Amino acid sequence: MSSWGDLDTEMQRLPLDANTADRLLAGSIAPEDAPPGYAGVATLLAAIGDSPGADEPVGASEAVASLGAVVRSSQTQITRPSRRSNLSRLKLATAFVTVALAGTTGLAFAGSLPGAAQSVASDMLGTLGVTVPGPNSNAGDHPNVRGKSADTAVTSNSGKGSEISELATSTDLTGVAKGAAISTLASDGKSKAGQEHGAPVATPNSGGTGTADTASDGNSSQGTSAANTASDGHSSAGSDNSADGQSHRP
Amino acid sequence: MATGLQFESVLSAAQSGADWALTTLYRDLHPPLVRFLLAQEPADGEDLASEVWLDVARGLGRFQGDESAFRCWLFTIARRRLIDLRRTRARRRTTPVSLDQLIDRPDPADAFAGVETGDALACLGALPPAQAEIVLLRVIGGLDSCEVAAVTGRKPGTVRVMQKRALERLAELVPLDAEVHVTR
Repeated sequence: MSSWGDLDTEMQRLPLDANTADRLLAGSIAPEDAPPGYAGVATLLAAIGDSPGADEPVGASEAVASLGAVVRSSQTQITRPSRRSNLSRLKLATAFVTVALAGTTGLAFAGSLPGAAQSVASDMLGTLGVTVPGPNSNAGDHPNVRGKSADTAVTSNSGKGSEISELATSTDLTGVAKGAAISTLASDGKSKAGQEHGAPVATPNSGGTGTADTASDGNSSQGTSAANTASDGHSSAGSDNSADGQSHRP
Repeated sequence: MATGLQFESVLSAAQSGADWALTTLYRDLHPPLVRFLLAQEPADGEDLASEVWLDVARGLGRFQGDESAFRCWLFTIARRRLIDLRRTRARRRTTPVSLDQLIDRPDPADAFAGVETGDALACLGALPPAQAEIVLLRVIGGLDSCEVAAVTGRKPGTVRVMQKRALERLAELVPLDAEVHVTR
């Protein structure tokens, strides 16, 4: 460690911080104000940065004349490509528009454009006196009117549906007759619902045997006979329906 | 600018090829440019400076910026010209030098016995090339550390560290009892 009384040359060199280094290089620190050990560096930097002054550099006039010629020729070179570029862009755009028009017209003549585009092309070329097929010429038997939801709703309300709905709510018919009437209307008379099954049979009771007895006035013994025959007399079927109440049980 | 003119008006006139404006730029910037190039390539500095000015003249019409930016641009071109020269030279066949010739070469530290401008520039040869380049751009080019970073393609913090190390290295080379005087 050096004491304050030491000469600069005897003092130990201190580490240099970045800011001081920056100021030394900027020439902001004179050699006498430099940190210990850096006075020589400050002088060296001053010597390096020593400018020869504002004297005219040797051969400056010739150099400037040649530079001026280069600058002016460079300006011409800069301008020319720009014009060429604009011209080529214009040519490219014109060619694109021409090709697009020719292609669209050709497609219009062939009738191959989409419906809306074909319609527009037909109208526009028609004003010029050129006949071009319309959008519906290739449609065959397909409708040439595009359907709308609203149109569909109106047709539905004013057609068969409303009649069926009215019949269903206003008729005096009930049961099978009502269903048959609605079915007939809905199928345009093709439905035979409720018409080929004869008159409905009133159901006297809930039993099948009872129904048979009633229908045959108590003479229904066919099932019982068949059961007896099949079982060699062991069947008890129809025993309850026997007119005399005798049992055939063995 | 040294002439006291507004840089914008000088630049605008120079871009249209006005001789007075080109003269102003040349007189302001040619001396530091030549010193920067001579410090690194003593044999080819003048030729390199001419090539740099031709590059400037070719690109002057497209340049946009203030005086500081113009100075950065100029030294960026100069640095690239130096790099091109060194690449070209590296491809050339070298001439072998005898050991006797090398013995007679002066020690860079000897130049500090009495500092003159030429000797001081020669002393930078003791620094690593990257550090010497930064010192030259700072001191001769008049660029700050951020501008040096832009010219050399480094980060500003890296430049600040490198310039600090360069000065520490120079301080080691300068004898503490050296009598430093400048001959101008």
